[in-house]
Order: sequence, then structure tokens, then C-alpha cells
Amino acid sequence: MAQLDAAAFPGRTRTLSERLPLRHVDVALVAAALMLAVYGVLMVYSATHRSQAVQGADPAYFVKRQAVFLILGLIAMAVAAILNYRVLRLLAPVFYIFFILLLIAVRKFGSARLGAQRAFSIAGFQLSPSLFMRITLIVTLAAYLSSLKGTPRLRHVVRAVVIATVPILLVFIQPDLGTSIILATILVAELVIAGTRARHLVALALVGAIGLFGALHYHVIKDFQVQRLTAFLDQSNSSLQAHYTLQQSEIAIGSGGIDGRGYLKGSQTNLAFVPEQQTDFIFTVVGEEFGFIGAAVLLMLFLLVLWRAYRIALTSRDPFGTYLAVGVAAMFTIQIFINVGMTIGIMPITGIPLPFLSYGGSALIADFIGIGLLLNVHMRRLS
Amino acid sequence: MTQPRTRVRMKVLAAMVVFMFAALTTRLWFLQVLAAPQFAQRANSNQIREVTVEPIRGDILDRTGSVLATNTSTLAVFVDRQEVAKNDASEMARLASLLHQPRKALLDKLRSKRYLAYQPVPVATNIPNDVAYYLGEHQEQFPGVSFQPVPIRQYPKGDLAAHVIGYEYQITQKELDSPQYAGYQPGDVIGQSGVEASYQSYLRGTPGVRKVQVDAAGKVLDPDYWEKPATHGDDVILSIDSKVQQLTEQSLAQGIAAARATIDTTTGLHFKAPAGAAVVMDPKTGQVLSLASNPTFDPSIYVDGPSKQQMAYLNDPASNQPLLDRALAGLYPPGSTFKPFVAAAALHDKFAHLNQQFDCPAQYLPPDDVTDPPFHNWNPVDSGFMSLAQALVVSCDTVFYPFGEDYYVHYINHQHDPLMQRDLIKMGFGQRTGIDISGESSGIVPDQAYKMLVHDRLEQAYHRKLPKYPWFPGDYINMSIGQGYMLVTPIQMAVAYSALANGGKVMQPHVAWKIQTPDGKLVKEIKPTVTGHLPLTPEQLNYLRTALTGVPAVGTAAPAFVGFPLSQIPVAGKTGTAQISGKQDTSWFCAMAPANNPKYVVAVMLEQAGHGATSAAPVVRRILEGLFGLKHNGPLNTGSKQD
Repeated sequence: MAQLDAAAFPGRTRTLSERLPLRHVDVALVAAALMLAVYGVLMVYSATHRSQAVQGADPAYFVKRQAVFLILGLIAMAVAAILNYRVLRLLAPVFYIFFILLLIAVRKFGSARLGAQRAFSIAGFQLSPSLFMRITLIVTLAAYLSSLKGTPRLRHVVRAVVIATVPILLVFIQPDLGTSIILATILVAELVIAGTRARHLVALALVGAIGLFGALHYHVIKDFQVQRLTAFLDQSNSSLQAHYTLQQSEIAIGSGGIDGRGYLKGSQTNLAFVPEQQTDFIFTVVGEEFGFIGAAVLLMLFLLVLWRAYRIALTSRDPFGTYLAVGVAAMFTIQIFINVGMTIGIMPITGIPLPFLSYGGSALIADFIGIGLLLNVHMRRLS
Repeated sequence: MTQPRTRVRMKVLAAMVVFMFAALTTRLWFLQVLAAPQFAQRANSNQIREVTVEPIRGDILDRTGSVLATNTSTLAVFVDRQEVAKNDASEMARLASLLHQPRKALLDKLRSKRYLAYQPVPVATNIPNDVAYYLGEHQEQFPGVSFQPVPIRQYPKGDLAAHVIGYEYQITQKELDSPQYAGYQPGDVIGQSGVEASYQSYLRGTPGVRKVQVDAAGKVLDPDYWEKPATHGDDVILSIDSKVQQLTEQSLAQGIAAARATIDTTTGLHFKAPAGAAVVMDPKTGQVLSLASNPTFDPSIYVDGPSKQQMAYLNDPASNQPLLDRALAGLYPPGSTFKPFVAAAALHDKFAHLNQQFDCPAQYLPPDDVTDPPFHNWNPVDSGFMSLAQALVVSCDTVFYPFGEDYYVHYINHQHDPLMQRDLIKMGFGQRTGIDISGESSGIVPDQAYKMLVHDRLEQAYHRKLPKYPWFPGDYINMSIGQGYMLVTPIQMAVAYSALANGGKVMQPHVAWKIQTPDGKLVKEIKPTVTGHLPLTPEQLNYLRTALTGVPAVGTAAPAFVGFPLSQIPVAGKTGTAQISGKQDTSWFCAMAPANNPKYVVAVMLEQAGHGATSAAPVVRRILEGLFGLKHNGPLNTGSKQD
């Protein structure tokens, strides 16, 4: 170890305090995540204050809750960062089995909302195990793949796929297509980075395509999901709710122009023309009120997070850390791309929240746990 | 540290991420920079709904400024469908019973497409105060139901001048389809007759626009987001004098009542006198001072829409079509009131001369048609030779018959040249006078083609072949005394007598005088318009007018004018008794006064009321007495049985 350190920093040896993980917190990453979350809190207020006021409810109801989630998220981030990630390798199977059981339980005991059964209602808060399943899958796959010696063989790939497919199917039948896509992306990203042979990846793609076709053909995917998925392909038929949503979303973003209509001044936002605006369509508030500049700043912050994740993956001392970082980056990337993409009409509408911005405690806490894991890997790159 | 292979794959994945972000940014650039103006506009139209602000309708005033039509406010009940939609059906049932409306009628109004989802719908107007109080005190039982004052049309003088003022009612589909009513919407209330209709564009004003801000659910958030106020409609000042109008209507009604009390010696029954019309005109300007048609109606019944009983009354044949303005739309043979114009034509065409003497036998046999029964004078005695003036005073038919024969001879000798018709059309007959109220008839100056038209109509009516005849001498002979196929409207006669009175100018009559803004700025003045001339020399005109002064003095109308101070107020006039087969005679009297410099022309027509001297002349006398401030003595008497 000492040799390696010396190689990295020639001419100097490290003091003990320099090796203390806490001294190596990635400040830029924390700052970017925090700025994103604060951005989100502002947007949640904009999206909800008017409709709350119209109903005679507390205009700050949602924003207060989101602020509480943010604090909980920061705590979760700290916990995820401080606990040495290498211990997670040992705990991974426990988490995995625990959340799989929770996913099964949520089907029996969970509360239904918007045609899907996804969350537990605990003390007025909605707890969605599927959102934590992402982190669990990142850790579990990273743990499994990093335990392999050399290039994964077919049976290893199959095992990794099986590990991922169980939660994918469980969230799929909730139905939560969005999380299924995120989980699948995590699987693919970690397999690619783990050095899976190209032919195995192609075979996996084929199996996935056949599985998807089968799901469509036997109506496993519900009608509203198919409609939402295809709405962006055929925008002429405005009778569908999905078309309405997409149109209003594009109007909101487009009417923002370059510099936006000003905070709390967006008519599309204030007058509730965009449905689900504090959650999946939070980006429309950014687009309408802060315009292209606000949207670009947001995307830059996301890119900053992803760039840090990229650096962390490269500088990780062990493959487990690399796979963790790649898994977290993949989780964020696919969410950002699908979520922003659907609001501007280049991706189908699926129920995927925008990381750090969308209203919701489980999602925000899970996102910060992801940041915590990145910090964890980063802090311990030298130890 | 990571493997080289891993690093390569990392770079590939990183490149994919960069590509994804580039894709998002590109699309955002398109939406927010290139297409931003369109989207901004759509965002705006999303949140803004336009509501028409109805302008306040202008008033209709008489020439002295007395108000004939104005607006007042009444309480109307409005239902906000968005508020009620959440409620159960029982609320509307409660409201229906409170308003004494069938529930279905109420629900039909709520389904009206005239109002947008966020506009409260008026479901009842003119509600009694106690209903409003009840609604106000039980607001919790009636969420979404409100009441507020709305303007409605008011006619302070009741049915006075109803046919002139007209009425307003909801626009019809036919009107909506016509380009004249571009910009109107279903449910708009517009003038449907009279001045309310003909000056609709002035009275209406300009609608304003109010923009309201709504949310995605269509709920109104800001009802006063933007407003372009409506412009108050202009006031129309009529040439009608409501005092003269009242005098005319009363005199006409009295004349009708008197006729109904008189026995028709031909049938031995009372005169039916179902209807009549009277016009008082300023011959110099064409201004109509009064225009009455009896029976009449109250225009205010259309404010709320006529009730069942009112509709039944208006449509009942026994009511004699109260909505019909007989002064403009009624077609009648003019009878002997037409003779001055036949005389005028004959003088013009040199079939008669001022110093000529005419034979007035009891009957006339046209030389080319000796086989048919002769044409009789109304007076079955031979009156000997007389001047043209005297022929008018005693209304000798047999003096006028030869003029018809003369025109027939001309017609035959000049390739069917309708010389008489041409003269009459020049004088304003057979065409609309152009009065500023719609629904006017043009009258008929008959010819061969018209005779054929009547023939065809009769064949259709009787479902059998009838013999076709050419234009006969008898057709001209009948026309020469205002009979046969000749038809006029009372307003045409008033215009024609005005021409005799004013030196030969055929004036376009009008009931409106000035249009002005509510604060008194003149928008338009309706100036006298000359549409034609009588083809007479001043000498001939003067001769005819002087001749007509003999009618009330010593002629057919003398019994009706007994006691009238003709020496102070000379009256020139002409009686007419027009025969319509199957009906009692139509009674006419047209007059001008003072005859030396006429200020007024009065034309009165009573359907089925006997001789002109019997029924119409006393009505004219009563009107003249009123116009010149004379005391009249006692009830209106019917005159003698003279033409």
C-alpha cells in the first residue's frame, strides 16, 4: 500500500491524518448534491403553493415536508459515507433479501396510488421500498461482480441477471415500469464495467427484448402504461391524458424562453396545467420559471455529480468501489435522461422522478444514500 | 485501481452520458429558444378565457325627448355550473321549485352552450324580491347560485308606437347565418322589428371583452385580468311625437269602435272594422310624426319571452295579427283616394286639361267593349258636365273611367306600352317608400305579367284551370278609380299626398330623426331625401290641391267636417271607398292641412269599415283637431255614406 501511495504522490509520504477518510470528503460532490436538493425545494414550493392556497391548505405544506426529507437525506448520506463501504460487501445479501421481502410485502399491505401499489404508509409518510431497492441492487451486484476473479463467465452473468431480475419483476408488477428500467440500467452498467464479454451483453439484450415483447403481447404491461409510452410518438391524438400532459409540459418549458418567466411567475405552473408537477414533472417548473438558463444550470449540476462519480469510479482502490460508483452514476443518468426527456417530448412518459428535485422522501433519501456511497468510496480510495 | 479494459468501458459509458445530455440540451434549445414565442402564446391562451361584455343598449326617444324605450334593471338568478357540479341534483330541484320553473327547463338552461364552463348561467330574470331575499338568506342550501341586477329593456309608454319601436328578442339561426349579423352569438338579443331592428347597429353599442384567468380545471382565478369596456349604444331620436302618436292611436281606435257600431247598409250587419292604420307626416321633410296600426301589442312581452297566453293571443286569427304593421305592410286597393294621381297622370299625358269639362253620367260603357255590363258611378244619378276639380270633389267615377280607356287605347296603339303604370311608378307607387322600418310592402302597380301571376295563384288555390285573359280595357278602367289589381300601403298614400302637398316632391319617409351618443353628441342626422317627383307643372299641382279643399268643404267628406273651422284651417283631402270581394269596403281618407301651406299630411285606412266619408274621414278630422289644438265636441261620429 505504501508503495502505491508513494507512486501516486512521489516525493512525499502521508501523515496519518492525511489518511483519515473524513479529510477526503469530495466537497464538490456534496455541494452539487446539496444545491440540486435546494433547487428542488424551491421548485416544489413553486409547484405547490398556489394550488394549496386555492384549496385553502397551507401553501408551504409540501415544501416543509421536502425540507424535512432533505435533512433526513443528509443524515442518510452521512451514515452511508461513514460506514466503510467494504463492510457492505458482507451486508449486501442481508439488505437484498430484506428489500425483496419488503417488495413482496408492499403488494399485500401497501397503499395504492395512481393505479399502482408501491408504498407503505407510515405515520403520514409514504415509504417506497422500490426506491431503496435501487441502492440495494447497486450494492448487491457490485458485491457479487467484484467477488469474481477475472472476466465474468456466462454463469456469472446469468447469476447477476437473476439477482437483478427478481426485483425488476417485483417492481414491474406493482406496476412501476420506471424503477424496472432503472434497475435494468444498473445491471447493464455494472456488467459492462465488470468486463462482461460483448457476446454475453448482446445475448442479454436479445433476452430483454424478447421479454419485453412477451410482456406487451400478453398484456402484462397495463394499457395506461402502453399509452403513456407511445404518446410521445404520436402527438396528434390529443384526447389521451398522456398527450395532454406532454403538451402542457412542453408549453410550460417552451414558454420559459431563455431566461424564464421568473420564480413563482409561471402561469402553467401556478394554474396547475401540468399534472404531477411537484413530482415527475418538476422539471417543467425549472423550464418555465428559470428558462433555458435555469435548465442548463440544472443539467450542469447533474453533470458535475456524474463527473465526480466517474472520477470516483476511476480512482477507487478496489473493483467493488468502482462498481458501486458506476451503479450510482447509472442510476442517476437514466433517471435524468428519461425524466427530463419525457417532459420535452423525446422520451416516453414513465413514472420516474428527477433525482434530488422531485417531491418525495423515499426518492430523496435514496438519492442521498447514493451520494453517500460515492463519498464513501472516494474517502477510502487511499486507505 | 481499475483495469485498462474497465477504463475503456468507463470512457464509452461517459461518452454515452455526454451524448444523452447533449440530446437533452439540443431539445431544450429548440423548445426554449427557437420555439419559445409560440409556446409563450399557447401558455397565454391556456390561462386566458375571453368573455364578451354586453354593451348597454341605447334609448329610443321621441322628437321631444320623451323616452319610448330604455333599460331598467331587474334581478336575475345565476348558476355557476362549476360550483353546482359537485353538488347533488336536489339543489337544482330546490331551485326549480323556488323559481316556479319545471326542473327540466332549468336543467336545459344550464346545458346552454352560449356560456362557457366558467361563466355563470342566468336561469331566471325579473325574479321577485322575496325570492332574492330567500336565496340570500339560505346561501348554504344553494352553493353556486347567486343573483344580481341585469339590464332589461323597458318601454315606459307601454304599447304606444309599438309598431314603430318594435321589439327585441333572441337572435334566430337564420339571422346568425346572415352576414348582416356577423359577430353576433347564439342567445344574443337583437331588435326584431321596428326601430329596434332597423337601428340595431347603433342601439347595440360595441361589445367589450373581458379576459379572465383560469386554471387547468377552468376555475376562474382572476375575473378582472384584463378588460376592454363595452361602448354604450347610441340613442335614436325619432321624428315621432308621442303626443301626436297618442292622438293618432286614440283617434284610430275611436274610429274603429265607431265603425263597429255602425250598420253596413249593404249587408245589414255592423261593420267588422277589424283593423286600421293611420299615418301623420310632415310633407316637407318626410318625417313621420305618428304611425299607428291597430290592433297593436305591448313590446315588453318579448323582454322575458311571450307567455303561452300571450303567444296564443298573438297567433289567434280573432286577434287580427297585432304584430302586423298595417301602415307599412298592409296592402289595400286605394279606391278614390287614388283619383288625384290618376288625374295627375291624365294631365301629364294630356288626356285631360285643366279647363276641360267632363261628363259625369251614372254609368260608363267603354266604346271598344260594349257587350260587358257598364261601369257605374258610385252615385246612381247623372250629374252632368263638370270640371276636373269638381269631379274630384264629388269623386265622380265616370269622369275617371275614360282616362283608363285612354290609357288602354295608348297601350294597344303603342306595342303594349304601359304608360299609366310608368307614371304611377314615378309617383312612388308599386315600390317601397324606403321608410326606415323593415317589413314594408312595395304595393302593386299591376300589368299584364301581374295579372298572369294572380291567375296562376288562383289556379293553384282552386286546383282547377281558369281562362287566361290578356290586359283588358276594364283593367285600366278599374285602376283609374283605384280598384282592380291596384294595391297600396297606407304609408305610400301618405307619401303620395305629401308630394301633392309639398310641390311635387316624393319624399322618403322616416321615423328616426337623429342618432346621438348617450352624452348628446350627434352621430347622424337623417336628412330629407327626395326619391321622385309628380310629373306635374306647379299650376297643375296647385289646381289639384285647391280642388281637394272642396272635398271637406262641399264634397264627399263635407258631412264629416261639419263644424270644422275650414276657413281658418283649410283642409284638402280625398275620400276613398275600396271594394274587396268578399269583404266589407275599405274606408280611406287622406288629407293635408293647412291646405295653402300644408304642415301635416294625414292618411287613415280602416279595414271593412264602409265608405271613406263614413269611417276614415271622422278619424282624420279628430287627428287634425288634435294637431291644431281645436276643441272637439263629444264622441267621434261616423260620417255620411259617401265615397
